Amino acid sequence: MVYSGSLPTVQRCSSMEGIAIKPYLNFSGQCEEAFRFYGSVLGATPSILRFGDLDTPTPEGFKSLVIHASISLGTYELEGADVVPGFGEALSVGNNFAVSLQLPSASAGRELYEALLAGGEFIIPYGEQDFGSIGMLRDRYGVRWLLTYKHK
Amino acid sequence: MKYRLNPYLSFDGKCDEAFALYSRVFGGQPQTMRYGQAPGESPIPAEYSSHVMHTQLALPGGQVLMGSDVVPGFGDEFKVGNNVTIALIPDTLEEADRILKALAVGGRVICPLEQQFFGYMGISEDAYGVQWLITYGTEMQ
Repeated sequence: MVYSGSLPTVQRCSSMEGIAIKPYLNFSGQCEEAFRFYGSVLGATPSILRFGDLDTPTPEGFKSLVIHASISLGTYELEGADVVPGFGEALSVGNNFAVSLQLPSASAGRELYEALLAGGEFIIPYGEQDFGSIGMLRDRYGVRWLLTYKHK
Repeated sequence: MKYRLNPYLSFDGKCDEAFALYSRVFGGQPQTMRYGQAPGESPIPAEYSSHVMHTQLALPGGQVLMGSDVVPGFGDEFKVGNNVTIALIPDTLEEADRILKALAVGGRVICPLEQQFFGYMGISEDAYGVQWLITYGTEMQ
């Protein structure tokens, strides 16, 4: 798919030497809602660009779909978009992938676990292990999160 | 609050093989712990003792790719989806092209590396069902 039109203004993330990798989350129309939810939970403001924000003519039904969303957490970033019906593969929600977050304290992990769990379901309840704490969940948008805290 | 955030990949017994591919593509050596090496009594059946409980590969630049094998009977049945992929941003266009093709060995190139209005973009799916979104020269860099 080749897009045309003017270059969108999107948030510039901190530069990184070498290879940068980011989890990229795909949604079927719920990207903006999900990124606003993640922003509120993670304490960051999401940057959201919709097809309707571009200068190019866009079919009415596509205007609210997100072409690119990002949340910046220091040097890390979470990115995402809505799939566009008819372009590429249909969305298929799997369980072969999780976003792993390593937290600075056990209590921060528990707090975040409970916030992300709202409307979702637990996979591993957040709890203590020999090495620290761990919890895993599937949020209400089908995204899996692995939250860990390691003792120093 | 300071987070560290990484993609975490799950495999159906092919975690070693997949991370061998990733270390060939990116360099570095994965650090691996197997279910049989876990301390104490384990509920994991002996036949899965060589399966990967946790592995991680440090990438040039300091970020870390993590993964493990699922064990049948523990948790949901394994299902490969495309709702979470990895966005990867190399230093150079040549490197972007090399990585896109190297990751597609045994898998497929979904989108060749082509110039879009926001920069270069290509998508590969590797032999293990993991999709990689490779971009270069975008505003986000």
